[in-house]
Amino acid sequence: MTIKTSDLPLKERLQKELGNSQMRKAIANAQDLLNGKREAAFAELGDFEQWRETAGTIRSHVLENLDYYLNQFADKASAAGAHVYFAEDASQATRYGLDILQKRKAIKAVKSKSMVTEEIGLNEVLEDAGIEVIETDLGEYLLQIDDHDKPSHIVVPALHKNRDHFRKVLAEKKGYKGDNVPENMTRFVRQLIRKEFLGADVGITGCNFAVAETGTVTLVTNEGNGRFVTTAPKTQVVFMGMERIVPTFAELDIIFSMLARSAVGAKLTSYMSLMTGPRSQDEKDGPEELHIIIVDNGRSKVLESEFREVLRCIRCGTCMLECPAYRHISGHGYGTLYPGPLGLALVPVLAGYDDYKEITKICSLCGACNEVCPVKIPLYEFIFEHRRIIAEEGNLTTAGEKVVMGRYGDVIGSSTLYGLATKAARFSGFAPKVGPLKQWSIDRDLPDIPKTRFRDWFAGREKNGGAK
Amino acid sequence: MITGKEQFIARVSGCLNRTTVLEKPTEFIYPHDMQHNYLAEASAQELLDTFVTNAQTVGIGIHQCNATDLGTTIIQIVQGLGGPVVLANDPLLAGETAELLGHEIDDCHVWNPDVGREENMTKAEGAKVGIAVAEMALAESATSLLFSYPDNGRSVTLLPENSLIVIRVESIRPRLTQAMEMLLEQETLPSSVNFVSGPSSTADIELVRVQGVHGPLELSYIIVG
Repeated sequence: MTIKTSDLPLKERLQKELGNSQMRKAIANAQDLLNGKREAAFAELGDFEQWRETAGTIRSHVLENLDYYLNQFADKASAAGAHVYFAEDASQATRYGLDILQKRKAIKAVKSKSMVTEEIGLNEVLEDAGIEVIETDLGEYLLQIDDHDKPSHIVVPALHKNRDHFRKVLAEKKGYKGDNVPENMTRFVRQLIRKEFLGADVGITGCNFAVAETGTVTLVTNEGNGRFVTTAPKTQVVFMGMERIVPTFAELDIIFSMLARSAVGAKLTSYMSLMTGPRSQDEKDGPEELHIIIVDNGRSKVLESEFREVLRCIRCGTCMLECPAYRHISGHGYGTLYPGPLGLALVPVLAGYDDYKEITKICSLCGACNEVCPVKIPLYEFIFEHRRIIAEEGNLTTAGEKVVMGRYGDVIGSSTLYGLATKAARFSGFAPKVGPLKQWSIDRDLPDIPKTRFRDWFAGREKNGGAK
Repeated sequence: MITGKEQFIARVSGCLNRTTVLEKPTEFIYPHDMQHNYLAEASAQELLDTFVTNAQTVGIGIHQCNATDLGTTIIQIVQGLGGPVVLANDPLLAGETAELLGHEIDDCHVWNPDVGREENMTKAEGAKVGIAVAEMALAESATSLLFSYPDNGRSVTLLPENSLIVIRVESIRPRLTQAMEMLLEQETLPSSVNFVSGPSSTADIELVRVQGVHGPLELSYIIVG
């Protein structure tokens, strides 16, 4: 996989997802359940604003000093015995990764869930070279054997499929004879993957966060596959996005405290592994060699842009769970590896406007994501700014649209003005009959301003994503 | 070994509008100190009570005993679960406890750095119960902290179906903050530090929680002291 996950034009893609009522129910249930758990977890933690301000400040500080911390991390990791390789782009990263595996004559690799390896298309490169790659996260594994279906959420990848579907897939592909009870299917997969763990030549992982001061890489999982991948194979290859770094363990405390609560509403995940170098000489398990591949792949473009702070992201998926658009179209509707508000803010600058200007229209600019982001990324301001740039660069259809978007920006960019405007519009009537608005509405209707404001409606929204 | 660093970091510096890496990072001041508030004034009993409650909430079994009874407590638990057993070679578990276990359990392997990787891992894979000792425990998240070292393989608490982790009552601290402070003070870090906060679990199929995916199906703590 790469950043692009669909070739369908936006409208067709959205129609397809909107027509999938089973998916919409599943996503709506997931949002309600996980949002409830997250809110409870943070209520117990207390001082959410203080926590996220601290977390956001830490991430921002790292970005401001990223050259320093990358330098420090590489030196410390190397001193601990790891091999560190800096890769400018996807092809450098995958070529180097493949080279490691081929030099060790590896025929099988086990992998724990990693977004950056998806982003650079690692599995495809290894498989083309004849190396079997086994995803070991349960959701990823089920998607992999389901003819490489694509994840619809960055934390819970198989949200869009139900138990009957997976029973059928397991029966067809792996000879499963049991029922559709998740526990039974999970046990069956446990047995299958356990053999793979013990027989694999190489373990491939991502890195949730690296610690600059000690050269440590970390992995967070609930299933224990992260521990397995870093225990059984003799070679471990870690891929990490270049921004995924914290200065010391003190900051890791804050970031991990936010990550598990935001992602799954837990205080911590079942397992967090902190690995510094390969196993020591006298240790009997764990990797004999540890390779860390640090990937840029467009991140430096983001770093130098006005969108730098989107690199604060800790990949918790909260913005997706809170997003009303995501609720209806799932991760698949975006056609990008990183969906939801994060995807709309990040992907246009990470991978360029040429391919990703249409998707910025998915957002309704309701701002719900901003309220929950644990590192305070100004997501909807960024999405709006993308739209403004696209409009000003002449990529939107008409001059009239540019004018409208420009004015709209002045209003929506200010929450006070936006509140006043939407409140006022409900009794004043708002119909574009002349000027730039008229031109804008030639090929589309300006929607009536609804009786209830979206912000108010969203607070008391319906269950089940409106699916019948 | 490091490859490609200079060019890569020069580009990152360029993105930050400078030509070289700063001598030291810009000053960082924590805007708040809320992480130190949690159970800051708690007594040892409060820490223990919170730890136990939080452990039970996430399905971790709890046993408590005095140091002198550790051996018999372990034997009782293991007899309920069945062998074989693999043990970390920890002072708390070695000596009399190991001897006692050796008498009572047919197949009891103490992790041994003097024999090969295969033998240790095969024993761990075949074991029904794996037993190790935590360096520290955290009340807020019911976490146990495990260091890997030659006498304690990563496999001990990963491969067997049941995981038993011994926790010294005085090692229970408020939260992750204190664990990270302890790691900050380490002169050399172990190759792997594992924070265990529950049994292996997933919710990947319809968000239904299933306990026991790749790691142990059951996790229990024995609190000593």
